[in-house]
Amino acid sequence: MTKNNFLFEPIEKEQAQNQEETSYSSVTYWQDVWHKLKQNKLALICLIILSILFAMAIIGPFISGYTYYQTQLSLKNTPPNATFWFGTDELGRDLFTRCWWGARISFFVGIAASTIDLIIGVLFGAIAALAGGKTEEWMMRFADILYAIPYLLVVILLMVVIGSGIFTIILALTITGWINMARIVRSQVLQIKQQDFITAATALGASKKRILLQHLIPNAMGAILVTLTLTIPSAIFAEAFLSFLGLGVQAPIASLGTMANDGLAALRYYPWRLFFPAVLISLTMLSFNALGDGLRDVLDPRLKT
Amino acid sequence: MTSPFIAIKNLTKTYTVGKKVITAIDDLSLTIDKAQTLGLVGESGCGKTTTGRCLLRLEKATSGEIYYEKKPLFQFNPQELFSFRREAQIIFQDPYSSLNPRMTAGDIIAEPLRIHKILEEKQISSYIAQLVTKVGLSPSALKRFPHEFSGGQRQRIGIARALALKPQFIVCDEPISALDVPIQAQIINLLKDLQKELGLTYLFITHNLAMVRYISDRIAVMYLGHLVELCNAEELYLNPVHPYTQALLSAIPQIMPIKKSSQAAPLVHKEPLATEQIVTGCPFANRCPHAMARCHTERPKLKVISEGHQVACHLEGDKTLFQSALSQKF
Amino acid sequence: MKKKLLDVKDLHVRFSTSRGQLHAVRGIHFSIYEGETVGIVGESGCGKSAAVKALTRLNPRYTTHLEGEVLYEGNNLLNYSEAQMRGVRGKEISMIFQDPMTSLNPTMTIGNQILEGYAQHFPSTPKAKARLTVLEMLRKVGIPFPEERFNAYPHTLSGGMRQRVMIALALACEPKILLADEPTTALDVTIQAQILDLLKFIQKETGTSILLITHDMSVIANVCDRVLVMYAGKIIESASVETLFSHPQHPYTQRLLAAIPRLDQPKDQPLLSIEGAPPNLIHSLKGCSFCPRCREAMTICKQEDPPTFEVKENHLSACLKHDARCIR
Repeated sequence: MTKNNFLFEPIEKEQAQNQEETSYSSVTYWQDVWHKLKQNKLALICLIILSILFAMAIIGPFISGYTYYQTQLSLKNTPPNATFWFGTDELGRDLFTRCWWGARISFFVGIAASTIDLIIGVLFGAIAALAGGKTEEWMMRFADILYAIPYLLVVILLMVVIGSGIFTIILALTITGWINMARIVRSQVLQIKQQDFITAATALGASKKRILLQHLIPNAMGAILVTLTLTIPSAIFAEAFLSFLGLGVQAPIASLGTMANDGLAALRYYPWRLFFPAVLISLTMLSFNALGDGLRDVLDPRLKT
Repeated sequence: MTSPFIAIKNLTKTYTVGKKVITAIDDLSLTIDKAQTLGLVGESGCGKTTTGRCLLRLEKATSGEIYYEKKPLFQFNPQELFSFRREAQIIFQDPYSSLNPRMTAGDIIAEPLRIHKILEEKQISSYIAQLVTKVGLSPSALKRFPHEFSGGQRQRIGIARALALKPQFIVCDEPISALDVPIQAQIINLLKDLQKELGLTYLFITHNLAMVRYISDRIAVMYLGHLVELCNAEELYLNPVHPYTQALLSAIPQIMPIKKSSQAAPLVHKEPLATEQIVTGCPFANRCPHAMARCHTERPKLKVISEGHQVACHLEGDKTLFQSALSQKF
Repeated sequence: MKKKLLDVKDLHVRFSTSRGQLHAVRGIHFSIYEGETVGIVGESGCGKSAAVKALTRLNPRYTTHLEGEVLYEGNNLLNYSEAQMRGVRGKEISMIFQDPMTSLNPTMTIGNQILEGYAQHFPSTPKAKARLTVLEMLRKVGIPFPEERFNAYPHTLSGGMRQRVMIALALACEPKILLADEPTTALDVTIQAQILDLLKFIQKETGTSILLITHDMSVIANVCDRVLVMYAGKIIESASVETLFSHPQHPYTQRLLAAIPRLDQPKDQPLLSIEGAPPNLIHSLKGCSFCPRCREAMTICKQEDPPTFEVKENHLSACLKHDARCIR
């Protein structure tokens, strides 16, 4: 057997630096999050459901051709049929339109309240954690005291003082709703603060504001997002609950909560009047919760490749 | 003799945890000369990392003073501190937590420039491209995120960030401890080259005795917050005087020739004291094979025993006890 | 002729990750005999930890795929059920881990933790006798005043002490093999010396075989009889410690040894390192995995994965330069 020497010749060395180049394609944090979330089938389905619900909340009231306040007494309490897909209520108003109109109110209140909670909560929590010492203690004790006040009392007080309506509800929900977010953000920031890159930023001369906005909050985004997706359904439910109790929006504007209240009285004979609003509330909340859980699985523990 | 670049005088740092007072640094005095490397060695709890942080005012010292180019660091007002930050930087141990995972390498390196408003935005990208090449990475790395790099590469990014403002002085806080041995060698070579090229002064904090000898001009050995020995790098290995230094050196597992028996016997089963237990006497007394009665009651002061060699030990007068196990070591 | 305790044949470990399948261990073969200390050394990411965890099936359950044979007393452990593995872990093959801070349960006294493990495997032993065994174990590993320390909680102990407790825990049931995954990496150098001495002492006393994983060559030199060098999921060299350190054959081993800083290193020369970095194990590798960083690479190295050559008796090296066709 002849020796195949060619194969055993030393090869020219190319720059070994090429090997140091990483071979992953560059993926941003959020692309990675999305990729992982997609693998959770339930979360994906819930995301789709929520998108449909949101789309319907926008266009739903226009589809059937009836308005939410149009009364036709002769057609009162009709069960679901070809003309009135969800049936009608005791004033002959199209429940399909009213449900989607109610969904608009519920979503608006839920998202508005949650967004305000987000802004106040994130800033409060992050600043408290960054400040440390006595300042932090006083801030968190203040939050604790506020948290102890039952928000139902606050709502009633506000209704007496300001009057009822969407904005009263939003105000009532945000007065104490931010505290949960603040607590979570504070604990996240306390952990992130320990990392060397924060010390590095200080060593570079970064101001506290810069550290807060560029370093602390972006790295807490995971927890913030998860909390947000779980705050929205509780705000929506709170609004529905208040409206159910009669403390919410007034007729003829309907939210899912007021419709559920009306429907409850007629449950025995006209069950569809409770059924549709209740299903919409439940579906929304379940979807947000499942989405939030899915996000939490993806974002926590920290993505470290 | 020219006055030193950095002079630490009687630095003390204590923490109060509940009722306990923990002394991280106890009356430390040291100097660092320009364009030199001072190695700071010791095991965990000896105060070396705290010293590095106090030097950059990343921690507040309890008492003492640090003179940076003859100016008292602890008296700096905010503007002076801000300009000081341009001249003194730090490299960290953990390549995973020292870079913001949400920023690209380019943004991380450019951040100091943006904070100090040194360059215009359009000049920044070419500057950091040069910088990143200098530390051994390609400019395409600038668009990537930290999680896409290996430990050694992340350390390089950290070094580039430290160099961005063209500092004079860098505290290297265990920069290679978290890396594999071949990568450690790469990073040390890089640090040495940069020092030669840019005239940098280093405080090199580590527990790796072989590396510290290679990179340092002088070495300071710390134990439980105290400085126990200070001398030239070579001298420490040829003639270690303090019993703790000797124990450290003999604890390094040998490779050639392979020695199966350990010589660290005197320290077996003895734990270092908790700092609140050291009231009087030498902190090393409970573990020292040569401890005398005096060692438990009187704290030894740092004394000069030969040119450039200081030791804090009651036995330094008696050289016969210190036939350094030179032949046994190498 | 020493008895063979463990025989690993063609072990593969694959992890399912979101980026694809990570082939961490790519077909390794080795054996452990009675009364010896074997070291596995390699850089981070070379697969040594994954391989050792696979021996007692401690890898993450649902994302790990194991292939090959791990023969213990003639049985393939990879085929054991979880219940059977519980009978093996701690009693036949024990493990100690790197981080003494997180390896012990902070809510149990150290005595009870060891007792728990012991009672698991010897349930019929009366409690008093078991406690005596535990105290004896604590004494053996060098913990002073064992009767008092029995009731101590882990947070009151230093890192070195905790590592001793870990060793006591692992040896309480007198296993035949002790797996030590970087047991001294997180410890100070003086404490490291003590723990290594302890391991050597234990080995002599009890005859337990030790499989020691580390990235620190000097630890290997100090403690082991034989050593296996891993790179990119494969064992690329194996030999006795004396042989490996005096006559390393594989280019990677040679460079790895050269990179270790020596106390008499001349200061005006740069340190020897290995340029580049180990390959990413998600991709399949063609040819020799060390080839891109190897200074002796030949054309064939890019094409063929080197088989293992027996360079001398009990000295194996997986490099194509040992091939008979290569003229040196």
